[in-house]
Amino acid sequence: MERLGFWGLLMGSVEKSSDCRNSVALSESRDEESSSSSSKQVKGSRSRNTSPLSRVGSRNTSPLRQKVVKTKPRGLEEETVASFGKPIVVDVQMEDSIWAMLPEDLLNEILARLPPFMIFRIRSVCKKWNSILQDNGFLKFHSNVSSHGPCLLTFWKNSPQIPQCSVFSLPLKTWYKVPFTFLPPWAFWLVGSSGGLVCFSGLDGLTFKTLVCNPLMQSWRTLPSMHYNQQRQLIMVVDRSDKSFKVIATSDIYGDKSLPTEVYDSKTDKWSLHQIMPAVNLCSSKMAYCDSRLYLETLSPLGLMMYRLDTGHWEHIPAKFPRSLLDGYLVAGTQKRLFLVGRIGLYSTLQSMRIWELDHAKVAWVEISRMPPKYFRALLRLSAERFECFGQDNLICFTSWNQGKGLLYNVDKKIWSWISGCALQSCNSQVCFYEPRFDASVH
Amino acid sequence: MIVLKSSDGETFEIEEAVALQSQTIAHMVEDDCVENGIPLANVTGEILAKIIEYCKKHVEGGGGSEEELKIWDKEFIENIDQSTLFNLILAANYLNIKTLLDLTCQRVADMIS
Repeated sequence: MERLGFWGLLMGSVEKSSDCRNSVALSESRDEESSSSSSKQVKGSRSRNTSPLSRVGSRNTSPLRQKVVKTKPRGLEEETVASFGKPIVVDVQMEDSIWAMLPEDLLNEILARLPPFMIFRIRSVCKKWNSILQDNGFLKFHSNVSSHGPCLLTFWKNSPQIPQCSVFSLPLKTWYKVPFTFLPPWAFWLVGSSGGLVCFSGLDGLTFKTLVCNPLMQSWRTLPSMHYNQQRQLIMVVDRSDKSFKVIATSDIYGDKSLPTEVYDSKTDKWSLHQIMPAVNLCSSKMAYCDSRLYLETLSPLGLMMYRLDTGHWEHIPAKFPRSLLDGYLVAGTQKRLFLVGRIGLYSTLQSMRIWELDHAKVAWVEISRMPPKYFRALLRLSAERFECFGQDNLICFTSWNQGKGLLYNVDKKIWSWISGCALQSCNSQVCFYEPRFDASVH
Repeated sequence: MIVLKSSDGETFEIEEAVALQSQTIAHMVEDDCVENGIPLANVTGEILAKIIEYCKKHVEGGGGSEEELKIWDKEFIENIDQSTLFNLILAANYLNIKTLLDLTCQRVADMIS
């Protein structure tokens, strides 16, 4: 790597990236604009929630005015305003002559402390930087660096069906736009994310395909077809210590066929066939994976099935589900923890959102927390409003369809908090937790 | 007490506990080659003085609360010019003082981002 003028390149690219930041911010607001206009159309056709309250602080359409989205109703103490305008940057002029002499290993130390997206942006501006991201020394070093922190990845499609992706960094409270033009042009949707990889599945014409990608490295790969290659419920899990990943395919998406469970292993690059899930009338799409076990919620009857990766077999877990549970979501925590999240009481005014944890020994759901009423009311204005719930590492995130707000529950610390600086357009987008990692390989 | 000699001939006498924060110096002490002071050919007097200032503060956790130490670190790192910062990184790496290397590299990362 050229030493002389190297930091000039870095500086040059940092300058460009602050321009880039402006253009990113603008394009962010333009995307907001276009997707907000499409969401406005959707709102109209759905005639859901017509309360004027829901339009408080909704996105203004001028691309140049600073975008302000209120993320909480009046009265709560938490942060109120998310801004997508130009972030305030204190410009530091890095003196090229000084930093040009920095040895590579120390450069790695510094890069490891930059938020992944900063490196990502510098890369997209300056071609010479591509090489450092492929550099084995850098990748090996970076794989030992602790995670940047929880991020949310949101995926949606613009009106002409162009895929868009943004990542919200919780530690930095900032949005980063991720170019998704590197992905193939089929109609795909988000399956999930694990260990730095993101999995999509969809239809390429009539063929059902699955792909994995690393958004940070802009690398991707289509997986081979399954034995029973149709639209199925999928979940991807990454083993970072093993540098491999697996994809598990369970039931048919419409739940009307009994299919053998298939498992894809990146080490063999093959799908293997396993037990057919014992007949259940309807399987939900709610799955969670922890401790080499895949848990799946069945709807009719409401119950819990578990698939063991090591044996390839399903078992029924006879844990009784709470009565009058609505919209139960399964969320995996750290180690062996499994949570159930859902609402109790559809028509009663005393509806509440509760969290249970599976006691593996007693085979029972034990209530561990309840969403405080003020958050519940703020999140779901109408009791019948839909919400999404997902989690990672003992963090459970709630997003509400119509309001674009995110609520976070930290199971360990028992703290509820709004995700500040974040406005999610859940009604036509998918969200999941994401861990940005340079060294997550699609192979 | 341990004597450190900078590349430009300055000598610094410091307590062993302070000096041992450098893994490099700790190894030298173990190998018992510190009779006539430890020559540090890669570190100038100016930089060595700064490092000693840091190490003195960080002996046994700094004697204050963690918060106070953080504030001190912040002041320490923000009031130096880029040339000094650069040299501190090289020196912290050479002397193998992990916490100082952390602090300095994070500072550069923050300056870039």
